[in-house]
Formats: sequence, structure tokens, C-alpha cells
Amino acid sequence: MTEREYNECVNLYADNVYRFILKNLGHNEDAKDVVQGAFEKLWINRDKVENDRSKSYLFTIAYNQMIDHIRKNKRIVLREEFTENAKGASAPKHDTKRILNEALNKLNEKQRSLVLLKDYEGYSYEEIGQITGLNESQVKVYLHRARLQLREYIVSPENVI
Amino acid sequence: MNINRHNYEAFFLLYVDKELSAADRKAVAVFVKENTDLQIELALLQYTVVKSDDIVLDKKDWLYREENITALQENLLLYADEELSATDKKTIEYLLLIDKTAQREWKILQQTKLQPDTAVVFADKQSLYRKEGSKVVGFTWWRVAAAAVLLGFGLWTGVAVYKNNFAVKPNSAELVKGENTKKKQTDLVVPTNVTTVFEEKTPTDNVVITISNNKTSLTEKIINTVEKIKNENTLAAKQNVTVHSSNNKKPDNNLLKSSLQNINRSTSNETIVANVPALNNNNRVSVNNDAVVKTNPKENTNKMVIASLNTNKAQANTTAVQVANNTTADEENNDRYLNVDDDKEKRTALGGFLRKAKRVIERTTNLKTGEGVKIAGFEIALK
Repeated sequence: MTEREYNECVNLYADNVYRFILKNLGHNEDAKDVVQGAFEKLWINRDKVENDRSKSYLFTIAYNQMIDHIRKNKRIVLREEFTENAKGASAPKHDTKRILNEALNKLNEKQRSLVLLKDYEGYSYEEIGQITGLNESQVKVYLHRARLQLREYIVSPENVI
Repeated sequence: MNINRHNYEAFFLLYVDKELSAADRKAVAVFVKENTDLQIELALLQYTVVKSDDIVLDKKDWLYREENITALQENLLLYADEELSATDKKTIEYLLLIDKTAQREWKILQQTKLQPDTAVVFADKQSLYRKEGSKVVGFTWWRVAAAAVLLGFGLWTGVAVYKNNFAVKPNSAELVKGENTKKKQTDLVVPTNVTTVFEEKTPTDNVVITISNNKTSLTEKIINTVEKIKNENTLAAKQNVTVHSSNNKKPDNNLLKSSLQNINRSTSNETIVANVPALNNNNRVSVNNDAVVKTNPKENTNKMVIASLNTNKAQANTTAVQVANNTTADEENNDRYLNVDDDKEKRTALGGFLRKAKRVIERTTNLKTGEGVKIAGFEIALK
């Protein structure tokens, strides 16, 4: 990967990676740190990374760094979740997007990541498996489980749209 | 219990099955070392151990189970994730058309699909851009030294070439019959850089006038002179007329030294014939009417006229030197040099003194020296 291709990657994928991480972490600065770290690693390893694999490589790095970050800052994540829930309690209920975000926050990190990779980036099970280190069957099972949890949350009596 | 020759079998079996404690395993190892005849027995027992094969179950997905999910939900989820084959996709689409339960379920599942929030962007992209630093090549001392040597050599060569090119004696002319005795090309070099060669080639006569020209006005004069000679000669015989115009040649082609050395050897000494008739011109090489003629000494001439224009800054007069060259069978007679005012230029008081000193030394010691003064085995160059 050349310098030009790397900088093109910044233009093409920085927003996507940032969105994916921000949705998972729910913290702007932490998400930026993870994105910075991911691109830093891409830059260091640019000679080994082919340009057409750069996006999945970026997401893989970002995902792993995010998991590390979550493990290190478990307390902060819990507090953020609490904040989200608190906000959700006081906010009006009948808003599809908000309800879905609440449901998303109720998923564990792995499930949330799978849903976001599928819905935001449109990756296949196989690609998601490569990014997250799971096999295709595991991705399918986890993703379906997550999707059904979202469904249950949406159709629950207090959240009926 | 200690291991001995009566109970070793039990110990060996436990050893092979890895059921002994570390101390007992050590005891067995020591016992086998002491009783080498029992080593084979232990080895045979170890061979009997069956090792697991490297058989793995590749695809375990059929073993996975999803709780609380119906077949319809699973198919709809796969359809939503675009993971179905074309056939299965058509089946589900047909099902969605006819089955109300499937439609209802699909409606709910569609709502679980997240849409990317494009308003969320990474604002500070500038911090992510990178630029490769220029590679720094270390300059070691030997590289600097090599560069200096090359530069010095280049300068020295350049100066030498420059001096050679411009250290031209304006009033010198030299007629050379080539070193190669078989070729009798006669060439007059006028180092005033104004030289034209006019050559008439017949079986009996050959007239060569060489004028090397850098100035247009002088060229015209020369051409006029050539034309005059040409007119005179055309009446005498139908001959090939050769005009040498070395306008575009490099200055060193006009140098006395190089002319002497390169006569009849290089292409620069080839004669360009303008408007040469096809007759008697067997040496034509170019496509146009120009042709290259090399004078054949056997056919060469009894008569040679060399016109030389001398455009010395002091005189600016034109000197024509005519050399009647009587061809004989003896080729040595044709080797002759013309030196015209050879030493006029670059005469200085010191140079004159040194030349005089050189001559005196040469006369008294009968030593042949070059251009320099030879003293005690060393020769000092004067130029």
C-alpha cells in the first residue's frame, strides 16, 4: 500500500470505522483514540497490507483495539450504559430509532459488533468472521441471537411502536 | 516400594501409562540405566501406546443449535442478511407473498435493521493523513572522496579539451600525405577555422581545396574561389567536383594534430561530394546527391591545388597555396608538410627564451626533445 492509497483509505473508511467504534463504545473521545490507533497500525504495516484488503484490515484492528479498550475500561462502559438507560427512561418511548439504539446497547459487545458490521458495512458472515476472529457458523448463530434480542425488545409491551 | 528385578514390570506398565509420581518415574529411569538389558523391555511397552490420530471435525455448524428460533425466523434472518442462495431466496420471497405470519415476522425483523448514521463522521481526518519521509542517504567519507576525484578529473579533462580546441594556430597550414602510404589523400588544414575542400577527381587529375568555414561571408568567398577553379577545370576535363564544407563539423576536426592523426581513418575525413554525377562515382553512399568519396591513391592525381584562406586577426588576408604534386611511383615523395607561420601565435618572451634554451640544449647534447625543455632527464612542457 502506498502513501497515496493509505490517505485514500482515510478518506474512504475513517467515517465508517469511527461510526462502528462510536456505536460500540458510546464515547466520542475513546472512539477517536481507537480510530487513531487503527490507522496508525495500518500505516506501520502498509507494506504488508494490500489495498483491496485495507478496509477489512482496518475494521479488524479497530475491533480488536475496541475489545481491548472495553476490557481495560469496563467500569466506564458500564457507567455509559447506565447513562444511556437513564436517558432512555426519561425520553419519550415511541421512537423507533431510539428504541433500537436502546436495544442495541443491551447487547453484549460481541453481538453489537456483529450487528453493526452487518448492518452498517454490509459484510458477509465470512468477512465478519475474519474481522472478529469467529468462524462463519458462530457469526451466524451470534448474529441471529442478537437480532432476535433486538426483536424482543422492540415488540415488548413498553416499547410497542 | 523400591523397584527391583522382581517387580519392575508393574513399574514399567505404570510408567508407560503415566501413572507414576515424579519420584517413581525418576526411580524407573535410574533403574533402566543400571539394568541396560531391561531397556528393550521398556521400549517395547512404550511402542504399544496408541497415539491419537489427527482426525478433526471440520464443519461443526450442523451441531450448533439456536434456542428459541423457528425455521421461519432463521430463514427470514438469513434472507435479511442476504446469505441465502438464489433458490432459497426465491422460496422465501414466494412465502412472503402468500404467508401472513411470515409477512408479520418479516415486518418486525426489518425494524431491527440498523441504518448507518451518516451524520456521524470523523471530523479530524487531517490527524490521520500521513506523508512518507524522504529517505536520507548517508554520505560516507569515501563517497565524498570519490566524488571529489571524479569532479577533479572531469574538470581537468574539460580544461584540457578546451585548451586543445582553442589553442589553434591561425596561420599554420600543413599538408599531409597520410601516414598510410597506400592512401595519398592530400589535405590542407587551415586552422583559422575557414577551410573548404574542393576536389576534382578524374582518372588523371585530382584537385583538392580544403576550406573549413565558420563564417558565412568567408564561405561565400571560398565558394567563389572554388567556383573559379571549378570553371577552369571543367573545361579541361569532365570531372567530378567535390566540395568539402565542414561547417557543421566539430572544431577539433580542423585541428592540425587531429587532422594529421586521422587522415584516411575516420569518417570525418570522408569527402562529401556535392551534385556528383552518376558517372565515375562508384563510391556513392547517401540517398541524396551527396556522396562520400575516398580518394584512391592509385587513381590519384598529378596535380593538386590547395587553396587556403588565412583569416588571421592581424592580416585577414587570403592565402592560396598551390602545390603541384607530381605523382611518381615513389610514394615517399608525396609526404610533405607545409608549415605556415607556425609559431606566430602565443609567442612570449619567456616562451622564446625557453625555446632558444631548448635549441641550444638540443644542439649541444644532440638530444631530441618534444615541445618542452629537457633538463636532467626531465622535460618541461612549454605549452
